[in-house]
Amino acid sequence: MSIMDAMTKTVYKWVVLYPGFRRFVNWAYSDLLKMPQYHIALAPGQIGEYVLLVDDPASVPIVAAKLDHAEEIACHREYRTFTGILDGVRVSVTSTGLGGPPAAIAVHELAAVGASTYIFLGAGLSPKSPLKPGQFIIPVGAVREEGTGLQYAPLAFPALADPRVADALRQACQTHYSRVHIGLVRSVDAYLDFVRSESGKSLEQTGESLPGVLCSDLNTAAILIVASILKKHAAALLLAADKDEKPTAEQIAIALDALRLIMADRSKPY
Amino acid sequence: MDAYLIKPRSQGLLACPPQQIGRYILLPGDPGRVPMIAGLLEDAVQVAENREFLTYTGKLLGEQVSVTSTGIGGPSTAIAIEELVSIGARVLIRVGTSGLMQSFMESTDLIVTWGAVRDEHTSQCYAPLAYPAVADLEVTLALSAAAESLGLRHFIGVSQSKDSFYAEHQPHRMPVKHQLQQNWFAWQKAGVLCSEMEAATLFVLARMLGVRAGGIMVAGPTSQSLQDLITTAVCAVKILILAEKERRQ
Repeated sequence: MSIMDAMTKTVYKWVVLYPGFRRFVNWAYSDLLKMPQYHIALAPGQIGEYVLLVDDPASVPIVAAKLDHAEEIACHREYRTFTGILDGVRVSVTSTGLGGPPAAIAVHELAAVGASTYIFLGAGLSPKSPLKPGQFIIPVGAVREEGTGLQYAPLAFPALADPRVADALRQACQTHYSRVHIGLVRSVDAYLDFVRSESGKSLEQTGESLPGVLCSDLNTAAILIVASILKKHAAALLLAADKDEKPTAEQIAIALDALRLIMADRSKPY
Repeated sequence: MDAYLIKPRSQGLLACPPQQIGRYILLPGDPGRVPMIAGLLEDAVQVAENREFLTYTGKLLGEQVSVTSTGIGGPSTAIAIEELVSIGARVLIRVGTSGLMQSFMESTDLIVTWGAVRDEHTSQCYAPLAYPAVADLEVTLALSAAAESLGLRHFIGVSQSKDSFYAEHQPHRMPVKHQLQQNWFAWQKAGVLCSEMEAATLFVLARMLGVRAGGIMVAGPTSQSLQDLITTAVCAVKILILAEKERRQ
């Protein structure tokens, strides 16, 4: 065994056994050496402070096309990132993949390389009356019927959107004359769970029947929980839809207008 | 026995007649603070008193506004909310005191509670624990705008709603002290700003009943900070009334 191998073996063992040493390695790796993060493959300085999140890597270029000088920075696993300019400020677009586990990794690693405000553009599935497909949902919170958030905070902790980001989205919807509903989204782990005809569950057997819940999705609760635990600001703009859909031009325009409002509002304290 | 059963039951435990309640309600915990808050309303009169529930009704900008004390904790708060909503309340704002949980805050800072940790059990009789205790967006922003316009330092954040006051203050006496201390550490680490006893019940019930809710707290119950607290709450109600009038036009 070479000396290098022996060193790697020892360091690996220390990382696994001693949490303090792991923190040191993480700090040295990302803050000191500015190495790219493990999954999103992004290093500090490669993204803007404002990040738009989508679930599908194929949606990233569609959203990035609305930014100036957008270019692809990284593409690794389900994480594809474009960075561009919006009104002179760097804005990035990253895909999270489907579900809590990859979404939590995306938010966590983006925070480590400098993101502070997230807007998730997703689809709000099985929308409840009076929502109609094509209308928007701004969740103020999420019903935590998923498991990833549990590793960040106990179930009693609420999955909350950032009030100022959510309000910026609401204002942007008003200027676009878009029909918007403010309420709760139910985030689940199994996609089939909310395609009820296939799972065989009735509406009453799921959290969908709870008052205030407008629609279901896979990502929102994890994104909101991780962002609030890391003291970052996140909110979501969901498009009511019967099946998974890519972000629409209107949805993207609203999100960008909301970012403009947040940038103008940055002087206010959080 | 019959008289006892009929009198409070006919009007509920609040003993509050339906026409004499406003659509906007301020909810302190302590009945002693009700007259203090009602002092900032126009033509405030006492309309009901039973057990820990004391109710005054007055006017702000021509709109009826009431102040009701909830008593301490989830169970009595839930009773007050259920009965108030059944007789016409639509916007409920908790105005209360709390314990600080973060070192970067001062005891005179106002805390606008945007959400609450559901460390209590009353709301679990209404919705599973996965359901978030979250306030209404417009009410929360109105409270924040009111504090800002009065030049008061405030934070928007999450409070911890617990069931036992002494579990927070004397955890070492409890057989489950390790669990209590571990949870306390988790909430602090999660950025929870303050600890109190009613917000989670209020937020979950308000969503269940389809009404709007918000909350504002202060840590140090000095006379000045209490005055700041209730002035901000009353100012926020004015903002909400004006916004609603604008929408109606």
